[in-house]
Amino acid sequence: MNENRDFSENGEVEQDQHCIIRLDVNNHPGVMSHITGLFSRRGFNLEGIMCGRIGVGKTSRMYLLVRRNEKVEQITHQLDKLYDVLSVKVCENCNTKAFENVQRLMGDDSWLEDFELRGIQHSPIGNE
Amino acid sequence: MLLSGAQLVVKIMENMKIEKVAGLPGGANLPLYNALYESEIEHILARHEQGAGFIAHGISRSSGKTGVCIVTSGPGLTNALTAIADAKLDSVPIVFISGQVPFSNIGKDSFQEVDTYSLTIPITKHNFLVRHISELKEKLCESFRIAAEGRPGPVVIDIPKDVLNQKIEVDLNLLPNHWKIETPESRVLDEDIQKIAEMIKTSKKPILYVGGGAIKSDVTKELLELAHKNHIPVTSTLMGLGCFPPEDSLYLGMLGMHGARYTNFLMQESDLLLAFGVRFDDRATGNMDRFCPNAKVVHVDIERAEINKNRVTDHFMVASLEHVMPKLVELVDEDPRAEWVSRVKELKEKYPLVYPPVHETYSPVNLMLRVARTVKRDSIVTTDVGQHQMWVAQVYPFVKPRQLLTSGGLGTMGFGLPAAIGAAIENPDKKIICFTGDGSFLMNIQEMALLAEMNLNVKVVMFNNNCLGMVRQQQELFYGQNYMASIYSHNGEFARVSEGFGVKSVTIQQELENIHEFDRFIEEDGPAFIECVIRQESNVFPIVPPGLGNDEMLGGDRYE
Repeated sequence: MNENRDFSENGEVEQDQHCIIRLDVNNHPGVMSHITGLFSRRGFNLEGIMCGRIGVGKTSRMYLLVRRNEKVEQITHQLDKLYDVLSVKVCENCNTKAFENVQRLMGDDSWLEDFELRGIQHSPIGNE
Repeated sequence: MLLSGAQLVVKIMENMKIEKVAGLPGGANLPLYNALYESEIEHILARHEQGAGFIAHGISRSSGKTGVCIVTSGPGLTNALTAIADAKLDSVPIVFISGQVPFSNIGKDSFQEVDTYSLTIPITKHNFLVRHISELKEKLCESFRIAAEGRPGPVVIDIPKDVLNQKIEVDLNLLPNHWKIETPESRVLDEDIQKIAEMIKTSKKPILYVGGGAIKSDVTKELLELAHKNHIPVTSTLMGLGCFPPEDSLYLGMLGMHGARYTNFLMQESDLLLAFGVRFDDRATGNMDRFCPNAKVVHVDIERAEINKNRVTDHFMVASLEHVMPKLVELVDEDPRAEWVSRVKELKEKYPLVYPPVHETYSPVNLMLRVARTVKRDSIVTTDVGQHQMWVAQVYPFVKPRQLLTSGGLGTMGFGLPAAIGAAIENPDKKIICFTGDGSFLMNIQEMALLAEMNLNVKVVMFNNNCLGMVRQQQELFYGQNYMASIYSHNGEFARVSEGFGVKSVTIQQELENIHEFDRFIEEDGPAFIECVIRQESNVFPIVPPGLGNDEMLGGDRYE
């Protein structure tokens, strides 16, 4: 999903080339599939996702980081068609710092502090 | 009243005036079949779930009503996927109710378990998995609403077996008893319609490019009025055929890959494209950079996401045509457009659609025209996919919307026979003609058993060229005549197979000189199978080579 070229080496998002789509969605197990599936089957790139529930958890808010190009209009209208998507907003000039912070967590586990990562025996694909 | 989940499903369908459902039972949906046993709803037992899906297509496409198809879990659902995807691409309102393994067994690779929810996300308008009986009523009612509202489409509702068996207290008076959805008119602004009228006024060479949306919104009358009042020629997509009188001098027939030469040349000259209820499909537009390069585009469509998807528009309205056309007819001026109309006439004469000579009685196109002369003008025609489908689209004189049922977007071979059965069930007073080919017919041939069983008034006219004709044609034209995997060296005896199913059958062939048999079989009522042996080299012309512009057609200047 992420393409390295969209982040500089220290994880900085090239802000002028990106925009953020904010979605409010119904919160149930199939919603994420509907949204990420839309991106892959329509040939759109999705550079980053942040998601969390709102209030008591009936709805969630998602922030999608996408490349700023002529496809954004089409992406937003396709997202708007989805039954579980309640609202679609586009932010052309917002601060993409949050995604940079997420990016910095990748490959660096120090934020887990004292917790232990318990591994399981890795099996090759096919022996799932 | 205390109902089981299965009884609740049936009650909701009864309340919504669903009279016929197509389907096939299996382990996971048996409770639902037990509830149907006590219902007035007629169940049509297909021989394969894909057949069941396309029977629902036939019912829905010929009437505009919402179709219902019931399948079981696992292979039942996977067999129906093609019919689901077909409904998505051609915007057909169908609710697919699939059985699922009990909820507690989901995720355990249970017998006949498949992840229906994930499989159907990309090919439905929406889908539901019912996790508990308490969700069933709302999700089923929503399924019917979503399928029919706005741009129609398929909805899958996956119901685990234990949910079908659970009991719930339901107030029957509170169940919805209709699914008629009104399209909100509030979004339609007069000034937007006014702007279209002004663009028409300043245009010298406008063309109406209409599609399935015109049929769905039932605006054939207004379309005719608009075209005549302002003298605007009309071209139709495959999905729009039947919305404009074929003999009208302003009619240009189908555009695109197999459109007539004059049609595609006129599109090239147009300075204003009135794209009403269309989606700029690649088979209609050809290479987009060369499609109507001189035209401003007005796009009216019910779905916002269609605007600027494939072609950037100069002016658009997100609306149902039924709320736009009457006002637009009122606002446009009368205009004889002498120059443009005479140019249309000139190109029609210079680059006509070439028909086979009359004496070639056994050529597929002449046989199609023979059917058209024999049956009532509004008889329903279904097709399969391939050469015969394009010949039908080019020459058959469709006079009414919903008269042609064809798999346009997905292009599914095997569509024709079950769709014809569905159309016959929905229209018992009409004769249904199913044009098919030897390749397509084999793909759902099992439904011949159902055709014989129900004794429906369906005439299956199969053109046999002993090959996958459209594939063979493209290999001839674009792949150096390397006929890889397109010719059948053995093909079976279709008339005997059909007889074996119990359908009266005949083979028509030039060598047999038995065209009178053809007429007799078409004229009679009841199911019949007519095999027409045709030349393998027959091609569909003109053809726009893949990737090229619509003005770069091959052939079509003479009969080949």
